[in-house]
Amino acid sequence: MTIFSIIFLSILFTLIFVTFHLLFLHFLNLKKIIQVFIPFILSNLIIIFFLKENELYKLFYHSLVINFSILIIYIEFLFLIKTGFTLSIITLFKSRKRLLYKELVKNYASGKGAKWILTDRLNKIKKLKIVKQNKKVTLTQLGFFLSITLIFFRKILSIKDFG
Amino acid sequence: MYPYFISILFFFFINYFISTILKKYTFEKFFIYVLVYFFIVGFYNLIYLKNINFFTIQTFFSVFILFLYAGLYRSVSVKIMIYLYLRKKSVDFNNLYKTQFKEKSFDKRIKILLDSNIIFKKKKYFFLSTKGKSFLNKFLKIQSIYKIKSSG
Repeated sequence: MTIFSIIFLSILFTLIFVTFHLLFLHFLNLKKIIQVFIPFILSNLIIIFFLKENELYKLFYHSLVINFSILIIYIEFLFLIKTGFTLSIITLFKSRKRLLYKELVKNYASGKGAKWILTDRLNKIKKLKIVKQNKKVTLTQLGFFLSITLIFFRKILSIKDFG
Repeated sequence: MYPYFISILFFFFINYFISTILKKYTFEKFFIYVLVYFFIVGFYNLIYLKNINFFTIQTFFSVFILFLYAGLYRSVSVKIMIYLYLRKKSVDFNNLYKTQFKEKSFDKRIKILLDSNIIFKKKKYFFLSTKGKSFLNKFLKIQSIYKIKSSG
């Protein structure tokens, strides 16, 4: 019964959190990270406020851990609809009924082209000083260390291929 | 503390075992494994252990491990970094694009879409299937709710 009460609290949190996030998104012009984190904090505070004198209050800390899990899922979902590679290919058919392979490559990401995604990701890791790029691309010391860490985690999770 | 460690160790052990048995261990298969493991352990906890802390930690662990796996399996940046590490030398951008990105990422995604019947190929042209059209409509609605104008 206790587990179901925790699930109930987390469902309540999700409803408040998503509503707040959408309201922030449509009515306030804030940075994307703030648009997610302020609703997360606000939703938890609202739940604490209304549960203060309730039996369920004791379970709030358990629910908070699950709320963090929900936040991770939600951020992953937002990333997926914004930067999803496969999903972006499907959106190419929004304006065209049929496409040649060349056109898929050329029109990818609203006409930026498939090469753009590689340039974009390279620029992002270049900003984090993971790679250096002149004419050729090279790993920095930090990149070298991070790559070993990533390979280690891939081994632990038994990941053999790339998706 | 024992149930946490045993449950996590078992998770990695069974995961390793499954990955050696299955020919292709994709994210979808890992996702199913995490769900099944979560429900089996959760059910055992509900009946025998009745430990709320264990339930919350198990939930967080399952989500976190899925998040980590998705990043390590699909991320283009991770792919670039590991490729550069394994090559042990500088790589030409155009070469990286042609061999690692276009063939192994872009073409692979098109193959996934073809295999899952979301798109189909007729002569030289790619078309969106009925399933694909319905998927696209739903996806565009979600994008408009989240004010996303372009993706990639």
